[in-house]
Amino acid sequence: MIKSVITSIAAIVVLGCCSQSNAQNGALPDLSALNLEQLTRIEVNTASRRDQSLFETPAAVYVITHEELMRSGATSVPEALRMVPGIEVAQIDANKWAVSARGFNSRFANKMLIMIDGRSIYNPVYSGTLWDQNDLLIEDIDRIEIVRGPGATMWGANAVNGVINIVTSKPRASDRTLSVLHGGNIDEVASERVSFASSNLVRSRIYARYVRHRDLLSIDNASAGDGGTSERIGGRLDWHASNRDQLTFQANLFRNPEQQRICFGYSPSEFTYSKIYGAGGFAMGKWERKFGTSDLALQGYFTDEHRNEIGMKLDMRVADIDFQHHINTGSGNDIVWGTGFRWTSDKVLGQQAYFTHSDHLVSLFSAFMQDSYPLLPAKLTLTAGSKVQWNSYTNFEWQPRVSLIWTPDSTQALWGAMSRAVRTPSDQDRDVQFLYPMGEADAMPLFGLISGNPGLKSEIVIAEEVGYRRRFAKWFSADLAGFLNRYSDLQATYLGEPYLLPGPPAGLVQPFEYVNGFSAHAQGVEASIGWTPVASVRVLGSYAWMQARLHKHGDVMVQPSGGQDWSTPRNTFDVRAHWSATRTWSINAALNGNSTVPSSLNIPIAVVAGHTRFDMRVTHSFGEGLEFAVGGTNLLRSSHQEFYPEDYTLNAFVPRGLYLSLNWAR
Amino acid sequence: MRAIRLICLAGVIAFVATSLALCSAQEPMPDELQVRAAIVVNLVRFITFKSNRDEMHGPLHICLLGYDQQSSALENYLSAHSVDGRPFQVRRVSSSERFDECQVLYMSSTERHHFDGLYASLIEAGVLTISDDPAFATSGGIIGLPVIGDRIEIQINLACAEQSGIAISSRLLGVAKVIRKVAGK
Repeated sequence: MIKSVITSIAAIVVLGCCSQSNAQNGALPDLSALNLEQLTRIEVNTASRRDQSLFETPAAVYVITHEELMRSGATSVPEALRMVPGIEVAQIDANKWAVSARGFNSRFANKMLIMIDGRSIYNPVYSGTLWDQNDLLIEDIDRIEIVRGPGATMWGANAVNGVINIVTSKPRASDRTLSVLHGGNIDEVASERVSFASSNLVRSRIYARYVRHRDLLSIDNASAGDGGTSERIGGRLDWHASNRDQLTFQANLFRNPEQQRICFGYSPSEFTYSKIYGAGGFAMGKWERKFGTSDLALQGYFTDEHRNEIGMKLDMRVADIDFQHHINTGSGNDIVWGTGFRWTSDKVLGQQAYFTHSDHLVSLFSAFMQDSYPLLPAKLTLTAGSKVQWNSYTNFEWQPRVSLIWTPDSTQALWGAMSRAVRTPSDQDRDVQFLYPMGEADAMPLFGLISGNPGLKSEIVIAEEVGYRRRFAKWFSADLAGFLNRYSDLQATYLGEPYLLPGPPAGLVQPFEYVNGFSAHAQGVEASIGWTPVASVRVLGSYAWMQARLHKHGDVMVQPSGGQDWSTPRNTFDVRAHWSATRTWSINAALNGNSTVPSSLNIPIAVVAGHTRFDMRVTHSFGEGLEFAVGGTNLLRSSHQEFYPEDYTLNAFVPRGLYLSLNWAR
Repeated sequence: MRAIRLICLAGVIAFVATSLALCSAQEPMPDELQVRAAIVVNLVRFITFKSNRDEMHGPLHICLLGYDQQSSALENYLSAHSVDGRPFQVRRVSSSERFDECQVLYMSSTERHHFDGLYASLIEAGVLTISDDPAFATSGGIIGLPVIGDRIEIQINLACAEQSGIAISSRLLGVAKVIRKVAGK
């Protein structure tokens, strides 16, 4: 299968090369010197229009642009997210990341919804995002839109603490064949992208990407044996079918062979190496149509994924169809409504860890409507809406949001919002059975038994937010947001009465059962600035402060289960600067860090001290689309720890990194 | 598995090798809003307004309806440019006003819901209507400037221009897409 796809890609390479468009050199043309015909032939950049609509969004939004992404030298999306205020990013091992907004960080950050071009990559079986399986060609990303706080009214369940939408760029006439080679002691990347255009109306591209994550370090500075690779091929085709219609098709195939160190029972010295294998792909189509005062979008996708980790084999298929209609009525109402179905069919098989029901078929139906109404035209806008969702497990869920934004002029916006969002229980939360060794007690082997609970309810947040953003001048802007989140029915583990497992060999079993066991109050502030002191320098800064108090329900023996802990530093900051020193040389530097990552696990390795990272990158452009960069990551220390072993995965230490990279667009 | 990896690597190497021959530089892209403003300045040269609407001398009256980035970009661009020695007089208007003073009305796409109500009076007043709304020229506007693919296309609804008493030079029509559909208004 892969072979035949690669053969066809190779064939298309030749076609792609033949369809290269005209080369134009130099700086921006003087528009007033061009005639009409020339003006209609110029390819235009449509980014600024988008910035304006984000400025007027009554939510804590942040956008990483393509340019910022490229300057950062990030080879993965989580790495790039370090620059976003209020997003906690921690590397667990060579292939695993914990990424969350507004707390409850975890490898399976189950209150964050991540999407690529509107396609959810939230894993409904394990609840959370497997970043390794959802790698993509970084150079194809147009922007990453981050909404901190509930986005459930539009996007649905599990968008409790935030939504990240990774938007890939439309194939453009100016796209060149692109080769990227990146090599260093942390990872190696080889990517190739070929673009071709059969006309101004049909554009497409295909790509292949190979990433090898080298082993990080163990606590004693030896190899952590956690390396892996990520291999993928894919493509996208955009067809401007008519003045009103736009069609987009995308597909990819991937595989991720990896290794990790696992340990049970909180004794990290007794780890074993364990293989992970992930593979799969997706196909997606989208149709957008514009009418006089409205537009609609219809999108469908199918994913088929396989994952084998700690001997648990998951086969999952998801089919999803979504319809959205946006209408601007004459009375000033701006209405968006939509409806969607999703079917998830999965099979989970395992021995040590298994599900009480191996097969699941989960249906989800949703409908939403949101209306924005200008109470004072162009000054004060009220937006209200709700999503109503029905799913096979918790039946109806409603997720409303009301917001108000005041834009006294085009340079400032003050907004406030209140919303309710839910995190629905996953198959794992309901069905998992996991027996693992915990050491010894009373001279007998002690086992832990984690059991799912089919009676689990959804976790709920009621969020209150305020924010203010202002463009003080063309060269300085600032954004401030604050939140107060009240969570209830958060998932916890209930410590049952230990019982004797009849042998041989006999042992003691400590049962842990998932329950809706605690509530929490979390609050925080997030700030960011964009500063251009001189034309050649761009400085971005961000800072977040947040904390939470967790309360047990009644006097039951509960503790936050793995992946349910707050696990979020009180202070996080990032400052980065880009200096275009000359036309061909540029320098990018980033300083970021956080305070201690708290954990309720009472073991030494769970104490993750605060750290500061310094990354730097020097880029030289040779012209002709050829760019060369040399960079270093984590330059201040020989290694540091970013997260703790919240479940069986033993975390690794991130070493100082050095790399060279070559980027050639031709 | 090893074989598949080797094939993938071979594929990547093949990409690099096969495309070695072709080289071209990347170009910076001008901003959509600026290009559209330049098009507006340029195209009014090719318009002949109703005789009672143009003194042929003095400033050209451009009205902007709606606040968005495009209208701000237009305001800045127009005030720094002129056409054949005639400066632009730019004025912000609201949908409740009369447009007798306007020769050109640029409507932000955020204001499209007002258009139906204004259509008749704009035709009668002989105002050249322009918008970046993709459906503008097909729904009764005279000139639409939407982004199609990644370029700005000039779309002209000739029937509406004729109804408004506006004559458009064939040189402009030569670079535009002519919409022949008469809006059902």
